[in-house]
Amino acid sequence: MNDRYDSVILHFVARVVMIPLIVVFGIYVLLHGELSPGGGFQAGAIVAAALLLVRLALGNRQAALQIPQGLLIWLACIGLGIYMFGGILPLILGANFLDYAPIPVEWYNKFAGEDRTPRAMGILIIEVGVFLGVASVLVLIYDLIAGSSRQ
Amino acid sequence: MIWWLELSLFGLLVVAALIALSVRDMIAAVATLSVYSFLAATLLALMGAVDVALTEAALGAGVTGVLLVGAVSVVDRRTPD
Repeated sequence: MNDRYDSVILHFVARVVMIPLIVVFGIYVLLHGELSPGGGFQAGAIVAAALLLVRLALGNRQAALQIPQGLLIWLACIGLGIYMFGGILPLILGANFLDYAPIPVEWYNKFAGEDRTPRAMGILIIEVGVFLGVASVLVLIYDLIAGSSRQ
Repeated sequence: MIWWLELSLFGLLVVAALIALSVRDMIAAVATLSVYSFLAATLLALMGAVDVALTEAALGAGVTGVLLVGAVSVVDRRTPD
Protein backbone atom coordinates (compact mmCIF):
# COMPACT_ATOMS: atom_id res chain seq x y z
CA MET A 1 0.00 0.00 0.00
CA ASN A 2 3.03 2.26 -0.11
CA ASP A 3 3.34 1.98 -3.87
CA ARG A 4 1.82 4.23 -6.46
CA TYR A 5 -0.67 2.46 -8.73
CA ASP A 6 -0.49 3.91 -12.23
CA SER A 7 -3.98 4.17 -13.67
CA VAL A 8 -5.26 7.24 -15.47
CA ILE A 9 -8.87 6.69 -14.43
CA LEU A 10 -7.95 6.21 -10.76
CA HIS A 11 -5.78 9.30 -10.69
CA PHE A 12 -8.33 11.48 -12.51
CA VAL A 13 -11.25 10.40 -10.31
CA ALA A 14 -9.19 10.74 -7.13
CA ARG A 15 -7.53 14.10 -7.65
CA VAL A 16 -10.02 15.94 -9.87
CA VAL A 17 -13.44 14.60 -8.83
CA MET A 18 -13.42 13.07 -5.36
CA ILE A 19 -10.83 14.87 -3.24
CA PRO A 20 -11.90 18.52 -3.85
CA LEU A 21 -15.54 17.51 -3.40
CA ILE A 22 -14.87 15.72 -0.10
CA VAL A 23 -12.76 18.58 1.27
CA VAL A 24 -15.39 21.20 0.36
CA PHE A 25 -18.12 19.08 1.97
CA GLY A 26 -16.00 18.65 5.10
CA ILE A 27 -15.46 22.40 5.43
CA TYR A 28 -19.20 22.97 4.87
CA VAL A 29 -19.97 20.51 7.68
CA LEU A 30 -17.46 22.33 9.90
CA LEU A 31 -18.75 25.86 9.27
CA HIS A 32 -22.43 24.94 9.66
CA GLY A 33 -21.83 22.70 12.65
CA GLU A 34 -23.62 24.78 15.26
CA LEU A 35 -26.88 24.97 13.29
CA SER A 36 -27.13 21.78 11.22
CA PRO A 37 -25.97 18.18 11.74
CA GLY A 38 -22.22 17.93 11.84
CA GLY A 39 -19.46 19.65 13.69
CA GLY A 40 -15.77 19.51 14.31
CA PHE A 41 -15.47 15.77 14.79
CA GLN A 42 -17.48 14.82 11.71
CA ALA A 43 -15.73 17.42 9.54
CA GLY A 44 -12.37 16.18 10.76
CA ALA A 45 -13.28 12.60 9.89
CA ILE A 46 -14.47 13.62 6.41
CA VAL A 47 -11.34 15.66 5.62
CA ALA A 48 -9.18 12.84 7.01
CA ALA A 49 -10.97 10.47 4.62
CA ALA A 50 -10.02 12.78 1.73
CA LEU A 51 -6.36 12.86 2.84
CA LEU A 52 -6.37 9.05 3.17
CA LEU A 53 -7.74 8.86 -0.37
CA VAL A 54 -4.70 10.85 -1.52
CA ARG A 55 -2.48 8.37 0.26
CA LEU A 56 -4.25 5.32 -1.17
CA ALA A 57 -4.46 6.56 -4.76
CA LEU A 58 -1.17 8.39 -5.25
CA GLY A 59 1.11 6.42 -2.95
CA ASN A 60 2.68 7.37 0.33
CA ARG A 61 5.76 9.06 -1.05
CA GLN A 62 3.87 11.68 -3.01
CA ALA A 63 1.39 12.18 -0.17
CA ALA A 64 4.22 12.66 2.34
CA LEU A 65 5.40 15.57 0.21
CA GLN A 66 1.95 17.10 0.67
CA ILE A 67 1.74 16.82 4.47
CA PRO A 68 4.75 15.31 6.26
CA GLN A 69 4.40 13.49 9.56
CA GLY A 70 5.96 16.22 11.71
CA LEU A 71 3.50 18.76 10.37
CA LEU A 72 0.63 16.40 11.31
CA ILE A 73 1.82 16.29 14.91
CA TRP A 74 2.12 20.09 14.96
CA LEU A 75 -1.40 20.47 13.50
CA ALA A 76 -2.85 18.20 16.20
CA CYS A 77 -1.10 20.26 18.90
CA ILE A 78 -2.34 23.51 17.33
CA GLY A 79 -5.87 22.08 17.36
CA LEU A 80 -5.58 21.33 21.07
CA GLY A 81 -4.24 24.84 21.60
CA ILE A 82 -7.19 26.40 19.77
CA TYR A 83 -9.58 24.38 21.93
CA MET A 84 -7.83 25.55 25.11
CA PHE A 85 -7.84 29.12 23.79
CA GLY A 86 -11.60 28.88 23.25
CA GLY A 87 -11.99 27.61 26.80
CA ILE A 88 -9.67 30.05 28.55
CA LEU A 89 -10.70 33.20 26.65
CA PRO A 90 -14.06 33.49 28.53
CA LEU A 91 -12.13 32.86 31.76
CA ILE A 92 -9.98 35.92 31.02
CA LEU A 93 -13.04 37.98 30.07
CA GLY A 94 -14.69 37.26 33.41
CA ALA A 95 -16.99 34.26 32.90
CA ASN A 96 -16.73 30.54 33.62
CA PHE A 97 -14.55 28.07 31.71
CA LEU A 98 -16.07 27.37 28.25
CA ASP A 99 -18.88 29.87 28.87
CA TYR A 100 -18.96 31.69 25.54
CA ALA A 101 -21.25 34.58 26.49
CA PRO A 102 -18.61 37.38 26.86
CA ILE A 103 -16.69 36.57 23.64
CA PRO A 104 -16.55 39.78 21.54
CA VAL A 105 -18.21 39.32 18.14
CA GLU A 106 -18.93 42.89 16.99
CA TRP A 107 -15.68 43.18 15.03
CA TYR A 108 -16.37 39.85 13.32
CA ASN A 109 -19.95 40.74 12.45
CA LYS A 110 -18.82 44.09 11.04
CA PHE A 111 -16.03 42.39 9.09
CA ALA A 112 -18.02 39.48 7.68
CA GLY A 113 -21.44 41.11 7.48
CA GLU A 114 -23.01 38.30 9.51
CA ASP A 115 -25.25 38.25 12.55
CA ARG A 116 -23.40 35.79 14.74
CA THR A 117 -24.08 35.43 18.46
CA PRO A 118 -21.20 35.05 20.96
CA ARG A 119 -22.16 31.44 21.65
CA ALA A 120 -22.07 30.54 17.93
CA MET A 121 -18.65 32.20 17.76
CA GLY A 122 -17.39 30.18 20.73
CA ILE A 123 -18.72 26.92 19.27
CA LEU A 124 -16.99 27.76 15.99
CA ILE A 125 -13.63 28.30 17.75
CA ILE A 126 -13.97 25.00 19.64
CA GLU A 127 -14.95 23.15 16.47
CA VAL A 128 -12.00 24.45 14.48
CA GLY A 129 -9.75 23.05 17.22
CA VAL A 130 -11.52 19.67 17.23
CA PHE A 131 -11.40 19.58 13.42
CA LEU A 132 -7.62 20.08 13.29
CA GLY A 133 -7.01 17.52 16.03
CA VAL A 134 -9.25 14.77 14.65
CA ALA A 135 -8.17 15.15 11.00
CA SER A 136 -4.44 15.17 11.70
CA VAL A 137 -4.53 12.34 14.26
CA LEU A 138 -6.53 10.06 11.95
CA VAL A 139 -4.08 10.65 9.08
CA LEU A 140 -1.17 10.17 11.51
CA ILE A 141 -2.52 6.77 12.62
CA TYR A 142 -2.68 5.65 8.99
CA ASP A 143 0.85 6.92 8.31
CA LEU A 144 2.26 5.01 11.28
CA ILE A 145 0.44 1.78 10.29
CA ALA A 146 1.50 2.06 6.64
CA GLY A 147 5.07 2.88 7.66
CA SER A 148 5.26 -0.37 9.60
CA SER A 149 3.75 -2.60 6.88
CA ARG A 150 5.94 -5.13 5.10
CA GLN A 151 4.93 -4.39 1.52
CA MET B 1 -44.06 1.82 4.29
CA ILE B 2 -41.06 2.92 6.35
CA TRP B 3 -41.23 0.06 8.86
CA TRP B 4 -40.45 -2.70 6.35
CA LEU B 5 -37.58 -0.60 4.99
CA GLU B 6 -36.09 -0.37 8.48
CA LEU B 7 -36.75 -4.07 9.09
CA SER B 8 -35.06 -5.17 5.86
CA LEU B 9 -32.09 -2.86 6.56
CA PHE B 10 -31.81 -4.39 10.02
CA GLY B 11 -31.90 -7.89 8.52
CA LEU B 12 -29.12 -6.94 6.10
CA LEU B 13 -27.18 -5.49 9.06
CA VAL B 14 -27.34 -8.80 10.94
CA VAL B 15 -26.40 -10.75 7.79
CA ALA B 16 -23.40 -8.46 7.16
CA ALA B 17 -22.24 -8.84 10.77
CA LEU B 18 -22.49 -12.66 10.57
CA ILE B 19 -20.59 -12.74 7.26
CA ALA B 20 -17.86 -10.48 8.71
CA LEU B 21 -17.51 -12.88 11.63
CA SER B 22 -17.45 -16.09 9.62
CA VAL B 23 -15.41 -15.24 6.52
CA ARG B 24 -11.81 -16.51 6.36
CA ASP B 25 -10.23 -13.76 4.23
CA MET B 26 -9.37 -10.71 6.34
CA ILE B 27 -9.79 -8.22 3.48
CA ALA B 28 -13.27 -9.61 2.83
CA ALA B 29 -14.03 -9.26 6.54
CA VAL B 30 -12.95 -5.60 6.44
CA ALA B 31 -15.12 -4.96 3.37
CA THR B 32 -18.12 -6.60 5.02
CA LEU B 33 -17.51 -4.55 8.15
CA SER B 34 -17.65 -1.41 6.00
CA VAL B 35 -20.97 -2.62 4.59
CA TYR B 36 -22.18 -3.16 8.18
CA SER B 37 -21.16 0.37 9.15
CA PHE B 38 -22.88 1.89 6.14
CA LEU B 39 -26.10 -0.01 6.86
CA ALA B 40 -25.91 1.13 10.49
CA ALA B 41 -25.46 4.72 9.30
CA THR B 42 -28.51 4.41 7.04
CA LEU B 43 -30.55 2.99 9.92
CA LEU B 44 -29.46 5.84 12.22
CA ALA B 45 -30.35 8.43 9.58
CA LEU B 46 -33.77 6.80 9.13
CA MET B 47 -34.34 6.97 12.89
CA GLY B 48 -33.55 10.69 12.90
CA ALA B 49 -30.09 10.72 14.45
CA VAL B 50 -28.42 12.49 11.53
CA ASP B 51 -25.41 13.58 13.58
CA VAL B 52 -24.56 10.04 14.66
CA ALA B 53 -25.23 8.79 11.13
CA LEU B 54 -22.75 11.29 9.69
CA THR B 55 -20.08 10.17 12.16
CA GLU B 56 -20.79 6.50 11.49
CA ALA B 57 -20.65 6.94 7.71
CA ALA B 58 -17.41 8.94 7.80
CA LEU B 59 -15.59 6.99 10.50
CA GLY B 60 -17.08 3.50 10.38
CA ALA B 61 -17.45 3.08 6.64
CA GLY B 62 -14.55 5.27 5.53
CA VAL B 63 -11.60 5.71 7.86
CA THR B 64 -11.89 2.47 9.85
CA GLY B 65 -11.90 0.39 6.67
CA VAL B 66 -8.70 2.04 5.47
CA LEU B 67 -7.03 1.64 8.88
CA LEU B 68 -8.06 -2.04 9.08
CA VAL B 69 -6.71 -2.71 5.57
CA GLY B 70 -3.45 -1.17 6.75
CA ALA B 71 -3.47 -3.43 9.80
CA VAL B 72 -4.19 -6.51 7.63
CA SER B 73 -1.18 -5.66 5.47
CA VAL B 74 0.97 -6.00 8.63
CA VAL B 75 -0.43 -9.38 9.80
CA ASP B 76 -1.35 -12.49 7.78
CA ARG B 77 -4.19 -12.10 5.34
CA ARG B 78 -5.79 -15.52 5.86
CA THR B 79 -6.87 -16.63 9.29
CA PRO B 80 -7.21 -20.29 10.40
CA ASP B 81 -10.38 -19.83 12.49
